[in-house]
Amino acid sequence: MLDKHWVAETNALLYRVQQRDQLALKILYDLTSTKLLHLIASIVHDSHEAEDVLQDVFVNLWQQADKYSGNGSAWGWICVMARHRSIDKLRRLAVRHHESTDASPELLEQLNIATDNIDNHWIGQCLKQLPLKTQHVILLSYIKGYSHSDLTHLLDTPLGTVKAWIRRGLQELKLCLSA
Amino acid sequence: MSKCIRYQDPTVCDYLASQYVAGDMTMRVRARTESLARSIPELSNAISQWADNFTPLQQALYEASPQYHTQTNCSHMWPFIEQRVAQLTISKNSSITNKSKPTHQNIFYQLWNTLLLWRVMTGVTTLASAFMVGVLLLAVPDPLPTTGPSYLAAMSSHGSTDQSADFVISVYAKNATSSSKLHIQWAKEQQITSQAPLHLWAENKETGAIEYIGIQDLSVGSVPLTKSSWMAIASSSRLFMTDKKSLPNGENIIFSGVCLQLQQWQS
Repeated sequence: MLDKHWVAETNALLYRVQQRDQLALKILYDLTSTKLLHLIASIVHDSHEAEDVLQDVFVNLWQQADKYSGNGSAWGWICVMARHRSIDKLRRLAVRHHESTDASPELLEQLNIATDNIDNHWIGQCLKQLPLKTQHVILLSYIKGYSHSDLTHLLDTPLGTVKAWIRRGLQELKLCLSA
Repeated sequence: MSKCIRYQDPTVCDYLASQYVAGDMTMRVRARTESLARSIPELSNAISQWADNFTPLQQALYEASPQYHTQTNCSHMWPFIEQRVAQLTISKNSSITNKSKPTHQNIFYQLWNTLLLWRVMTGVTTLASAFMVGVLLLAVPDPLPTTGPSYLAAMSSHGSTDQSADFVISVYAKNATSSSKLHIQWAKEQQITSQAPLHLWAENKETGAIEYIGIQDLSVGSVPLTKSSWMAIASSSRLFMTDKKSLPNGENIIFSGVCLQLQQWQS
């Protein structure tokens, strides 16, 4: 689980990057790069491409740090930026590694291991309360960066149905998280 | 319903935010959402909430692959990033220099040469401006030291489950030209929530003892520190702010934050 000290460090460092402190960028890199590369690689798959995306993320972070408004954690903001860069890379490459529909049960299994080890992991608990199909599409979309049309092809399901699963799933997640 | 009001609807904001964070948008729609979020705080807040909702999922998956942490080393990529950041800084500076050249040849420059009255008036205005700048420089407090801070604390409302910081306290060591300083930088979207000055305390990292630093006006950016205040912050693990000058407890703490030593990282 993300510890509070780590989150506070990341917040403070991003504020320093906003002040054009290159040392803070380096420290932020040391602190977060392995986790970010893991996030990126789960979407991009190719390790060299993933490394390129990681570099782009930090260069973007340097250029756009002032867009971080202070709402929410800096880490959450950086993760969203990294996911978007990874998805953009994937779209530019126009490559979607073929994955069977077994991919998301594998993810769910990883998540089970993770949640078994971590107490009060509410996002994991909430996700597991969703119908299996909904879990799949949310995980494939969020973790693997699948677009709606990718999911349509992968699951051989109409686009409208995929969109409805995602929409309903996110609404149920929200309800569960705020309960 | 107008476009702006529609996007202030919590349900619409929440849906857009969840789609944005989950990555279910085209680049064009994403750019539009980012632009809307800059002008609609409700949307910006919803995006931050969804981003923070999802990060534990990412973390759980990362922790479920222990072999990844031990086998992955990202240090070899840093020099490339450093080089690109340096190039960006150089090109930004040179573009500022280059921009000033063409103006000498444009139509305004020719017009300028023909207008004697303008030239005289501008000369007078420049002299007056120089005088005003001189007066302002005398009134402005010492600038922050050019080196980075030695300590940082991201201060949040005490007891808040929100992971964001309301403001950051940066503490600078003294140098040849200025004394040690404490600087407050508010988060962009945070209002200065407490108008009255607050009392700043430091918790000693070795003994847990609470030491009083002093009274702090949150609207003032930068204040000098005494030697004892500097020492108290240097040996602290956490900083607290209370509304009254009484030892911090669960009741009276307004803001709190972990105090991070940057010099340790720098060395």
